Parts: sequence; structure tokens; C-alpha cells
Amino acid sequence: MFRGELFLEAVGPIAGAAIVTAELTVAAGLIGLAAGALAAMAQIGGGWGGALAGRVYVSLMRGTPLYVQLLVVYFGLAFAGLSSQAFLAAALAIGLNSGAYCAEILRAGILAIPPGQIEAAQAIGMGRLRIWQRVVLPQAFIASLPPLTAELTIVLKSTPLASVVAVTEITYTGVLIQSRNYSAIEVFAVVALAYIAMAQVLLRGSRALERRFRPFRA
Amino acid sequence: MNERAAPPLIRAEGISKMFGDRWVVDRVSFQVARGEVACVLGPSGSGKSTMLRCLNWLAPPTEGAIYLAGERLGVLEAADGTTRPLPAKLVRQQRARFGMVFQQFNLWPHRTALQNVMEGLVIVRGEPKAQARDKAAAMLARVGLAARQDAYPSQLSGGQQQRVAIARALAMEPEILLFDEPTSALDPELVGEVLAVMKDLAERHVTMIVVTHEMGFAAEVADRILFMDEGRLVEEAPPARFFSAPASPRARQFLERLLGGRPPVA
Amino acid sequence: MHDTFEVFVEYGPLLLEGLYETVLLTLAGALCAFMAAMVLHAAAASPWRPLRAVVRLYTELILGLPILVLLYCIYFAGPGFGLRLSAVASGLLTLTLYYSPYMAEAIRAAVAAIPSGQIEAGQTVGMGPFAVARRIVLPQAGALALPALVGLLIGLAKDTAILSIVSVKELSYMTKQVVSRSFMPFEVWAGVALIYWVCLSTLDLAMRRLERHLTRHRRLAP
Repeated sequence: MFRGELFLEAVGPIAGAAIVTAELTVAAGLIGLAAGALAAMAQIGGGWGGALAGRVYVSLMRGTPLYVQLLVVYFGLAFAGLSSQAFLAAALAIGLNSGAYCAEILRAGILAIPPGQIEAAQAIGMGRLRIWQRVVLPQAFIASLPPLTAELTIVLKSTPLASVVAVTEITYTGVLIQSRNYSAIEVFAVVALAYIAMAQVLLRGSRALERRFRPFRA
Repeated sequence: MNERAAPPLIRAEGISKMFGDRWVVDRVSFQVARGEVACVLGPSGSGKSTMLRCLNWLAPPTEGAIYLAGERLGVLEAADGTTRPLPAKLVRQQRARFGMVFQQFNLWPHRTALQNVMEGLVIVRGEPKAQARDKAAAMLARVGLAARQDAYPSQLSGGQQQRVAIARALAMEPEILLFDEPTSALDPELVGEVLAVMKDLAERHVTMIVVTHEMGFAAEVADRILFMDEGRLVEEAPPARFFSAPASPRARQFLERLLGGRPPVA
Repeated sequence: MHDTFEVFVEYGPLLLEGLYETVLLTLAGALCAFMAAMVLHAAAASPWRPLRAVVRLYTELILGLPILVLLYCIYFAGPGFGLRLSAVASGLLTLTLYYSPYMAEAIRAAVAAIPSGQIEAGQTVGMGPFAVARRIVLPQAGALALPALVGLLIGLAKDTAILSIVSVKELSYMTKQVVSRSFMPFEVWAGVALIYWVCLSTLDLAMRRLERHLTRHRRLAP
């Protein structure tokens, strides 16, 4: 019942779609990192207003399904005059969702920085923003690398949701193929293998990254 | 040395610092002349480190005034005698005129030795990178670490890290260097190399205020000893007199407990 | 704004029906997944090596697979294996298969955190293996595993929304019906997001209180 020729037929299109999945993962990952850094900074150094805004953001993102967030962003963009921006909506929704988790990770990383590090920067006359940019955030980032790369794997595993708004990434491509030639078993075998392979690539890459950053750690 | 003839480089007038409801520093006044080395001694918890942090406004004093080369720190004095806090940017500029060396080194672990020294030159002073790199390399050479400039802090021994921290402070060409127990976090065998660098600075007439527990260093290098206890400046004397005939009972007690009655040998 | 309010009044009962289904799916899914996790946990400690290997392989597979892909595999590819399930059954099976390895890992970590000396102490006073498990390991491991399990429960509750894709008639599915009738997709989805947020925040809060209650003996220590 497993037809090898249908399996092989699906490999090409899905490999092509894997590029879209990779782009979506990178875009959402970067948005998430930026949003997370901003939210963590707001929570720690933004006064009570920043702390409140940061907490509401984190709570909203963690307290609603990503599926619903994606549709809110997709239709919200349309509402604002940007209709049919499926890739943008998916990258934004997945990124902003991941940002809430990145914020928690980075917050822990920031709070773990010895206060003396910041004193040393103050002592040579650095300003607040400079200290965030040059001393606090880079160190929080390096210290948080293992959970952050784990978060990127979760981002990868969230990208199939983009199929809901018809982004032609791996999963949507798989659904399209199997609806054409009734090859669900073969096609989803390829789809599953594609994700497992990409997760492996991410894992290897993040291990290499952690090794590279190891001497920089305290 | 006749320090009273020279105008003071730094003058503290009745500085006090309150944490919670406790006066950690209590009405401390002193002067340090240009080129002078003052060692601050005293039991732990006597407010030495906090006093040092008051000087460069890392811990702004609750009361009192500090003058660096005649300029009031941290406060704007209007012609009519009223005062208000100095804008943060100007505070930073004043702070950069001090160099500070910390007990825990506080090197930035994500930057190499060279980058640690360059950072202030590039980011605060806005110097071109090439120029900052040459200057930083020269500073590292001065503390004997030319060969280790590309090492990360985690790859250096404690003594080497502290020497990098000294180079980082020196690179900013400060008018005065503050040392906060620079050898207390070091293994005993690494203390010597750091003290040697500091002695070299003293011989070049760099103005320094050193909070320390190294009595031998204080006896040999200091021009003056400031002895603090419970937040107060209890005694101020040249080292020869301080170590042989301390005037206050507190200082006598402190020295006896520390040295068992023997004078420190330099 | 007024229109949005009217839509929610008019379709309120429909959405409530969906919310009820979401709650049921969450409870049933969590229960099935937890039982499957216990089985996985026991199997992972089995003396029979092939069984342990199968558990490990299955765990690795699930950790690398997106839940939506798992759902599609069961829903679309299942019939090819003779597995013809209703939408609800496919959904429940997906939640169970997907969440059980994560829950098993939470249980494993909690059990591993109990000092072996405590088990020895239980044996010393003459307890049998079942007494040790019931009276010493479970009460402590339960409290230790709770934070991770609560996180997974909330994750599972959020993932029920995905089941609307295969037409399980829960809250998100009903929302799509409302959107197709009201033509106000942004407002309706934003409002439903708020409903999810209120429910999930309440669940989170309740679980945290339970957690505090169960770990009170550790905070009483000086």
C-alpha cells in the first residue's frame, strides 16, 4: 500500500517548499528575538509602564492559541489595508508569539548578569542605552543561547500553521499534492521526514553556535 | 611629601551615604593631592567601598560635596547658591574622569582583553577603532599582557584579568584611579603581580585611592592612610606613623588583630 | 464597535457551544495523554530492551514533528492504513500521541529528582515497592512534576484550536462559522482571542494556586 513512485514524486516539490519553511523560520525567529529583547528590556528597565506593557504582551501571547493569533494578524493586516499578505502575517504571528517566550528567556539571562558588569560600564562613562546595547543584551543573549535555540526549534514546529493562510510551505504543499493524487501516506511521510531533517539541521547548527560562543561566557 | 602645599585633586566634604535607615558612610572629609597615593584601610563593613563609589557617583552620596580639580561633582550650583542634580550625561562625563578597578574585575566576558580595553575609547570617547586598538595594545603591554590581548576573560587567570581591568581603567586617561579591594578576590599567589602593576603606577605619580587589606602594600606605597570604621573616617596619617603608633584605639585594635602586633614589612 | 458587540450577542450561544466542546476536548485530551504518558514512563523503565528502544524512537519522532503534521497524518493518511476515525477521534488521538511523550518526560524528571535515600528509608521501615511508590514517590513527584504538567496542559488547551482545521466543532471552528456569516473576520477573531485569553489565564491562575497548595510543605521549611 506504500507506493514508492508517489513518495519520490513528492520529494521534489516538498524540497522546494522546505525553502519557504526555512525562510519563514528565520523571519519569525528574528522577529521573535527582537520582540523578546524589547519586551524584556521594557519589563526590567522601562519603569512601571514598561513593566505593565511587557507583562500584558507576554500574557496575551502565552494565553491564546497561535492559530487564533495568526488569524487575528492576517485579518488585522487586511483590516489595515494589507490584504492577502499570508507570508508576512505568518512571520509576524509566529514571531510575536515566540517573542513572549524569548522575553522570559532573556529576562532570566539579564537578571543573571552580575551588577558589577554594569558598574564597570558606568565607571567608564557609558550611558544607559549603550550599556544595554554593548554589555547587557549581548551577554544575556550568549547566556541564553541554549534555551533560545530550543525556542527556534519550536518556531520551526509552528510554521505548519502558516498552511492555514495558504503559505506554500512544506505542510500546505503536502496537503495540495495529496488532494490531487490521493497519496496521503506517501506525501505525509515525506513531509514528516522533511521536518525531522530540518530539526536535525537546527540542532546541529545550534550546537555549533553554542560551542563557538562558549569562550565568551563568564 | 608636603601634600598641603599642592592644591587637592579631589576634595570630599562631609560625604554621607544612607542605605535604608543606616548611615553606611558618615560625614567623611578628606583631600588627596595630585600624584598622591591614599590607601583606605578598615575592617570589612566599615563603608570603605561605598565611600569609594560615592566619589565617582556610582552611589551618589546622600549628603556632602565632592570636588574634582575644584569642580563640584554631580550637582549644579547656581549663582544664588541653590543646587540641583546634574543632568545624567554630564554625570557620565565626570565619572569618566575617574578610573575604577573592582574587586571582582568585572571584565565583560563576551569581549577579548583588547576589546575590553578598547570599549570605552570607541564607545564613550568616539575614537576611531584603529587608534583605539593601538592605544589599548599599549596599555596591555604596560601591564605586561601584550601576549594575551586576544584571550577572553575566561581564558585568563584572576591576576591577569585584574591587570586587564587596570589597563581598561588606564586607557581612559583618568585623572585619578580608584581601586576597590583589587586583590581580595585573587588566589594568594596571584596577588603579587597585581600589586607590582599598582606600585609601578604609583612610581609614575598616578593619583590613586586604594581600598585594600594588603598592609604591606599600604605601608610601602601609600603617601597617606585613611582609616575608616563604622562609616567614619577615624584616622588619617602617613603610613610610618599609622603602622607604628596609631592614634585611635580603633586603629590599634584593627592592626593588632590583623598583624598580631608586628609592623608590616614592605 | 457597536456592530462587533451585536455579532457577539447574536452568535453568543454558538460560540458558547464551541467553548464547551473546547473544554471537553481539553479535559479528555489531557486525561488520555496523561494515561499514555504513564504507560510510556513504565515502558521506558522496562527490562526488555526492544521496548525501551521503541519508546525512545517514538519520543524522538514526536519531539521532531509539528502537531499539525501529526494531525494530518492521522486524518488524511490514517484511512490508508485502515484507520477511519471521526474528526473528534482523530483530534483526541493527535493530542494523546503528541502530548504523552512530553508528559512522560515531566514525570521522569520529577521521579528522578527524589533522592534515592528516601526510597531506601521507606524500604528500611518495611514498605513494599507499591507502598513506596504510593506513599513516598507519588506525593512528592506529583508536586515536582506539576509546573511542567500545567505548562503542557495549557499548551494542549491552546492546541485544541488546531482541530478546527479538520472540522472538530470547537470554539475556533464555531468562530469560522460566525466569520462567514458576519463578514467581520478581524473583529470576531480578536474577540474570540480575548475569550481564549480569559479562560486560559483563569486556568493558569487556578493551577498555580493548586501548585502552591501542593508544595506548601517545602515552603514551610526554614
